[in-house]
Amino acid sequence: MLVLKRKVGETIMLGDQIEVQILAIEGESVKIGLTAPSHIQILRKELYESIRQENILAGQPATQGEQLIQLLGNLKKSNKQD
Amino acid sequence: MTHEQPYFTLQSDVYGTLQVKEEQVFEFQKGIIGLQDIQRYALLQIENTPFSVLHALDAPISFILIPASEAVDRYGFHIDDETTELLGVAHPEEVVTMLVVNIIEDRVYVNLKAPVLLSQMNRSGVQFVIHDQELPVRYPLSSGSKEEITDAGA
Repeated sequence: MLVLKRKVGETIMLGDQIEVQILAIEGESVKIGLTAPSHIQILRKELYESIRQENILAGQPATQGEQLIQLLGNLKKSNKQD
Repeated sequence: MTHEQPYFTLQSDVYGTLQVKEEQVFEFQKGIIGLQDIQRYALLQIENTPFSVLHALDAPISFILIPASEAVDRYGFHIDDETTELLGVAHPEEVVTMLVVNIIEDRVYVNLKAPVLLSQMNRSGVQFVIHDQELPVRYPLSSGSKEEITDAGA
C-alpha cells in the first residue's frame, strides 16, 4: 500500500482524471472530496461489499433455468389472486 | 418489406441456447457492481411472467430482473445528472427501473438498494445505488400481493 501524507485542502491524483482531496479533519473522521469520470463507481467499501456479494449470488444461479422459471411462474400465479 | 431481425445465439450454462436480437443487447458502461469488466448484456423477457433474464454475452453470468412497478409500491428515488448522462437520456422519466432478483432456498428476494436502470432507446444500463434512503439489498418478494415498503421494525 502506498502511504502519502497530505494537509487539509491538498489533493492526490489517481491517473489523469481522478482527484482525491482532503477537505477537513473532524476528530477521528476525514472528509474527502472525490472527482472522477462518470463511469467510475464511487462507494463506501461496506456498501460496495454488500451489493457485490448480493450480485455475485444473484448472477450465478445454482438452479437450472427451467426450475427458476417454474418457481417464478408460480409466484406470478399467486400474485394474480388479487 | 419486413426485414428479418438479425439474431445470434448465446450458450448459457443456466438457460441452454438463447436466441438474442441486436435490439436486446444493452451496454453497461460501469458494469454491474463487483462485475465491472462485464459490460454487454442481453435482456430477455421470460414468457408469461413479469421477469426478464439479463444475460452477460461474454461470461457465465445472468441475472433475473423484475420491473420495480411489478414488485413493490411506493418505490421512488432521485436519479442524479451523472446517471442520466451515462444512460444517454434527457429526463429521468425515460429510465426503466428493474430490481435484481435473488433466489435463495426457493425464496425470492429483490435488491431495493441497487436497482438496474435501463434506457430502452439507447440500450444502455447501469446499476444505480440509492443514497437518499436506507433500503435493504435483500428484501423478500412475497408470494402474496404487491408489497408496500415499510420498515420491518424488527
